[in-house]
Amino acid sequence: MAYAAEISRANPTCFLFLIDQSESMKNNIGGGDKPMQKAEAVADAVNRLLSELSIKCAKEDGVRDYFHVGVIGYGASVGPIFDGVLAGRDLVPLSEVAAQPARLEERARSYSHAATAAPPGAGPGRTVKFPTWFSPVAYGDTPMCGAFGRARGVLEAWLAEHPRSFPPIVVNITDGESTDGDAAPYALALQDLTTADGHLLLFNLHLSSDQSEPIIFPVQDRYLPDDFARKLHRMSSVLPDQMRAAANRQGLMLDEAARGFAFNADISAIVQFLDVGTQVLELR
Amino acid sequence: MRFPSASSYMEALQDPASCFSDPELAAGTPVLTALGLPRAMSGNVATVFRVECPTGRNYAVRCFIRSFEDEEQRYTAIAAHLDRLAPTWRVPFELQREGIVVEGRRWPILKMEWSSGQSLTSYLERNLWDSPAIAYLALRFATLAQQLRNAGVAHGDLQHGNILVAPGGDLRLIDYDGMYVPGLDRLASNERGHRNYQHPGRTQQDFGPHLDHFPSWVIYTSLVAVATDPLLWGRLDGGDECLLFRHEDLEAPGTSPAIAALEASGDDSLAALAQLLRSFLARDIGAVPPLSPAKAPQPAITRGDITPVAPEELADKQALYAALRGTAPAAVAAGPEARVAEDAMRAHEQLPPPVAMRFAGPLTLSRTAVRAALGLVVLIVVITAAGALSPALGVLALLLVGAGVLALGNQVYTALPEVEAAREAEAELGRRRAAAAAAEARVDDLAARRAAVDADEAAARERAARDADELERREAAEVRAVEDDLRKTLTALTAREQASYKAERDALAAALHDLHRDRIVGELARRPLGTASGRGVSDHVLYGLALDGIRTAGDFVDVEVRGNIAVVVAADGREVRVSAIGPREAQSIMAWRRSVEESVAVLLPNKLPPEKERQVREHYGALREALAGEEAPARAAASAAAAEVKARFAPQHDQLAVELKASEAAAVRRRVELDQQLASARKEAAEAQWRVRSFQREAAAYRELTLMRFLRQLTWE
Repeated sequence: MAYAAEISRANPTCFLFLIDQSESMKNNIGGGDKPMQKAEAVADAVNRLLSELSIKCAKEDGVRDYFHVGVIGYGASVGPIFDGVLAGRDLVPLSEVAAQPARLEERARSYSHAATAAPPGAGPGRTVKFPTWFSPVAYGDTPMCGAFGRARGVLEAWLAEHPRSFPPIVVNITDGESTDGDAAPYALALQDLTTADGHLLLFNLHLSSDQSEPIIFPVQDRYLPDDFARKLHRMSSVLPDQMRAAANRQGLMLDEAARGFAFNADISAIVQFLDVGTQVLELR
Repeated sequence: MRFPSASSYMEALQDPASCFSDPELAAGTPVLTALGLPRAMSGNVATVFRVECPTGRNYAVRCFIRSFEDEEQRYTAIAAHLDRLAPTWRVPFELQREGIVVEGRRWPILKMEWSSGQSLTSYLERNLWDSPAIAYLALRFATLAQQLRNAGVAHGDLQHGNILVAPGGDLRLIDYDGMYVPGLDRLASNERGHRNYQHPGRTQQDFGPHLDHFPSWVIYTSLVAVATDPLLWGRLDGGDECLLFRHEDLEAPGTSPAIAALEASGDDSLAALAQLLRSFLARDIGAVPPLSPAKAPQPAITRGDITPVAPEELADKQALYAALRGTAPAAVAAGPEARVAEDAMRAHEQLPPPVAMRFAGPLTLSRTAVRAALGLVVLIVVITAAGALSPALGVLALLLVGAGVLALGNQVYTALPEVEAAREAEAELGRRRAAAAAAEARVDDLAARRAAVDADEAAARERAARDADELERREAAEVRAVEDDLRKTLTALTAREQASYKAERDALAAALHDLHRDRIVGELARRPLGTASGRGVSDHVLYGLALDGIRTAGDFVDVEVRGNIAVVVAADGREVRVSAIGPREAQSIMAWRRSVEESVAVLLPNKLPPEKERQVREHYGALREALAGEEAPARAAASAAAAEVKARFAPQHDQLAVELKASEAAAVRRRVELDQQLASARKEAAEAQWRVRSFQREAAAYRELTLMRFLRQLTWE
């Protein structure tokens, strides 16, 4: 049975995020209370996810390396985009990620966590510390083929060392078509990578600038609005059981053939997509 | 309902004063990480933060990240039951239904007393070499299992992370989300427990006092095993989200390395426990008996069979353990050059040299005998020297005494217990060497098979590529043949079309020619010869011609003069001889006929009447249309033929691709399998090498115990 490998420190899996840094990522994204650039929304969501993974893998003796994590940007160039101590590294064990964010930003709270309404100007508690590992960038083209190629190189090396692990998960986040050629063959080549537990999982998250209805985890491409959407759909892996179960726990009711693909995602769709797409096995 | 994420709780905890509704927690401070963020510990359903309060008490605040609908009912029943029993393993808790505000909403928390202690795995790793402590822990755990059962309680998820060893050695259980207590009978289980501990037959419907039976045996067996042989922890990669057993072991006990290792350990308790696990796995989960401290096989160390290991041996074992532990299977797969054996050897060489053995037994009797023999020798020499014995007899007597001493000495020497032990040590060393050589041979064999897999795969890929090329070539040839046929057909059609244009032109010309001929013939027939009389042709001649049926210009075509006779060639080819015509008259007649002809020619049309032309053109047009009509079917037939070829070849292409994929997948599986086997074979080889070294040390210690030394010792020392 595929996608059933135990994830442990001896057999970790990895998450590789490919983030579109093209010019158009400057445009605002749908959803949310106030206008926000797509690049910013993505950086926030992925940074928050890194934080979330760090907490979920924290045990009494520290953060366990159940995951190796990488973030590759593609825009003016293609390459890893960690800032700070981790700069230049492709895949980093989670314990190192957890210990070394590039910055601790002081952010205004997006929600009130207060049990009682605090009086205005009441000192502490107005901001929260938010760890970030990389910053939003938006200039250049969309060299998606380059990004897929780079991912393949990075993951081939990783797979040689982890032939029995749960297959790597690659999440590609983009708002437009590839500018360096047809990305489909590169996506296929990437999905061809395999461990004893199954093929690599490639998920595609497409962002909208307008207020179109997000389409999340569709089964068939019939209802997708255009060829570009259909192409991205075809490039996306079918969700393994545990991710589908996680989505269904959130009330999505997915079909068995649902793919890891979202089109016209707004802010909340990004969060939901990343949450479902990183639910591997039950962590303890 | 979607619960807040772990990171949302972490944000909220940054300001306990405003997020907690409990006043004691609100006044507290969360323990922070090096980054200054609240330090979290997560499980499957909850994230826990430690909060230190000014009251001097510390709490574990359990925040739920996954919903389970009936938690209030469960926790109320659990709290009521545990409060009544107050078991020692309990960590008191309080469910606060609206204990924390996250993202503007109130959520439940569990406020638990902070229990200082180490998880089972941490404890084991820190106390691995303290076998009595681990054995004691095993017995304590068995007692805990009995307490749970007597209380009618099942924890539901007994595993290394949920069992804490408190500083005094007491065991505490945490994480009661899946706990069964009497009164919850009608509910189903909200989890299935850690799969490295649970019976593979456990389902959501299994919820009752029997839940902990199987995991208790798994934990107890692991603890007894580690107490008996700490090396098992390294050999089986213990502590990697498990103790010694993984779900693969429980799902397939027949091929389980852990169960096999226990059975091969040579320890009766371990073998018996392994047998029990096997039999439980063959049963239904409800039929697994509870773990009872009185009946379960005990750790050897508490049976008094063995004593704790000597410090030197301990250091030795620890060195091997470090070597075994230093190479996870993945690392071995990555680089076969990571030779475990060498690490083990290096570690071993740092040990102090063995202490040489001495003859220890009471040698007084032997020594007395030898001394007596010496006395005898002196006596013989003295007697011989005194001449009481001939020198020959004296020498003979000396030889006899010498031989007697040697024979006696040898017999005594051979029977000495230390000498027997030395022989045994030597023999054991021989066996160990053989075992080590066999283990090395197995490593080499596996390595060779591993290399063969790569070679086979490369060959298969090459073969597949060749087959694909060949297939493509054949397909292309067939498609080309189809195209060639089509081209020929089309060329033929073109030729016939061009021919039809020529035929059309010819037909038009022929029709015009016929028309002209008919017109001329008609006109000539309307001109009587009589009109030629004015041209010097006599009536007599005309009359004669008329008699022969030549009356008009149309009735003849030529007049030839042959000597004196003119021959008129009639229109029907007859020759009419007219004797009275002279050459001049003949010429006149012909001249007349020509003039008539010329006058008719002027009146001839230069084209066919439209109706006639239309007929001709329509005829050929229809012909060409028919030709054009043949092109489309020809093309259709050709593309159908090409499609047929492609369709015929497609399954073969697919077949090749499927075969290649399958063989690649098989190679991957095989490689992983071999890597696994190789890793364990390397570990075995390392251990075997280590054992050779140990026995070499032992054998070396006996090396001093030679016969000569024995005799010397008897004689002089």
